[in-house]
Parts: sequence; structure tokens; C-alpha cells
Amino acid sequence: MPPSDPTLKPTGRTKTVWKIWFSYDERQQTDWLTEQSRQGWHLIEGGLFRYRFEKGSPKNYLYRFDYRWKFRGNDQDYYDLCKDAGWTPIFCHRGWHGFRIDADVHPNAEFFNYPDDVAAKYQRALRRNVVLIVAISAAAATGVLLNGHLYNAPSGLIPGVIGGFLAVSLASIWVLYWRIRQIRMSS
Amino acid sequence: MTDTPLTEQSFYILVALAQPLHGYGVIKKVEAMSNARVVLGPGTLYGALNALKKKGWIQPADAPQGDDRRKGYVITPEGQTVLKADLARMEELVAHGRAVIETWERADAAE
Repeated sequence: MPPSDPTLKPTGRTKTVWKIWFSYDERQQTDWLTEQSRQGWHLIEGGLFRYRFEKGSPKNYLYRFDYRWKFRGNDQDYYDLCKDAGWTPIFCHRGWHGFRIDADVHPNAEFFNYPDDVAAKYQRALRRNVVLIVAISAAAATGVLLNGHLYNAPSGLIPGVIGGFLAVSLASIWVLYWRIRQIRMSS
Repeated sequence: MTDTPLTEQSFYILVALAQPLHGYGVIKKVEAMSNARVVLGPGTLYGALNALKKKGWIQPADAPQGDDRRKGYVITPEGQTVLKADLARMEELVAHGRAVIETWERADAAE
């Protein structure tokens, strides 16, 4: 994991915020992180729906997420390029890579220049999500076949949880798909 | 031919890679050529370099900046062919555009 920005003096004051988000609203996440930094809370860690911040002086940071599950070759090339261009890596988790840049030092910086690049990023996330959900559904179906009695629990809890998970997953994939279409049609 | 027209960033990257450069070298060179109009973000450049490499228009090369492990690229003969074809296309556009503007200017001058 890359260390947090060395130019920040550690104050030792940290906070953890839990936030559920989906691929299609990652831009709201990065806008929110920028807002946090303006209040002096700078991201030091990102995980599954969990952000950790450290208190420092307010900064005008621009945050951007990229989605890359696997790299053609060495991911070091990718990180070198981002760092050379002034972007500090903050976290990488389940294919999401979080970066930030000081917008006062690099006023016109953008991680992606063209809407098509953003659509391609969502496309990578979409493909991965579909694979994961198919795999999880297949595992659940196998579970039904092998341990049918588990699913006959009177509470209906297990089928309920699996059904709920599938419904939320499919809905989020559908929204992401429309987001990609929207970007591609307007660019 | 579906390879052209090249996007602006692909065209500039191919021109920049007339000499071997690493990623950040490409960003700086394109920025200089376009008077800072095109400042490629790392996400855009990384994707574009991979796409150009996959098409065989650029290939890995030792970047001359003396930087050790930074990976460099250079244009291939295929890349040069594509660049020339796209340049010919743009010259045609420029010639027609310029010709029509000149007729307007002559008409304005005659008034």
C-alpha cells in the first residue's frame, strides 16, 4: 500500500466513515472526498465501504478513482506514470484505485481527458461486476442443490439474503449500464 | 479503414513517439507541442498507450531520459503508415477549408 502524502504533517487525529456506494456514483464519492479535504480531513485509506481520514490543514485536493482489475504487464508502470504526473496514490481496493492531486499546484489537472475514457472505466467495472455476480449466483445455486434443507429454514432468512443481494447487484449493474450509454451517446 | 481518423490524443502520442519516450515524457511533449492545450491525464495516456501497443503502432523501447525502470515506447513502421494516412486526410480537409475561406475573403474584398 502506498503511504499517505508525506507533505502532510501527521496530527494523529483520524476518523473512519462508512459509506455504501456503487460504481456508477463514484464521481459523487470523489466530490465528497474533495469536500472533506477542504475541511482538513484527508483520505489515508479506502476499503470496502470504509474511508479513513487524517486531520490536517485544509487543502484543495482533487480526487479521482480509476478501475483496473488486472494490468497488462506491470502495475508499477501505471503507478510511476500517475506519480510522475503529480497524482498521489491513496488506496487500491478490489480493482478501484484512488488518487488525488493538489488543485492549487496543478490547476487544470484531470485524470481522464475524454468522456470515452470514463465510459471505458465503467465498462471495465461492469464486466468485472457481471463476472462476480454470475460466480456468486452459481455458488448459491450449487448451495441450494447440495444443501436444500438450509433453504427450507422457516424464517426464509437465507433465500431472503441471497435474493436481496441479487436484486441490489442487478439494479446497480443496470444503472451502471445506463450511465455508460449516457456518456457514450453524449460524447 | 476504421483506424482513421485518429483521435487527437492518438495523433499527438504517435507524433511524440517519433523518439523513444516514457509516459511522462509523452505528457510533457504533447503539452509543449499544443501550447498546453492538450495536457493528457495519466488515466487517458495509460489507456491510449495500451491501445496503440495492441494495434502494433508503438512498441516498447528504452527511453533515453536515463531513467532506469521507467518503460518507454517508440512508433513502429505500422504506426508511421497510419500517421501518414491520417495526415493526408487532414491535408485534404485543410485544403478544402482554406479554399472556401479564400473565396469568402475575395468576395468580402470585392464589396
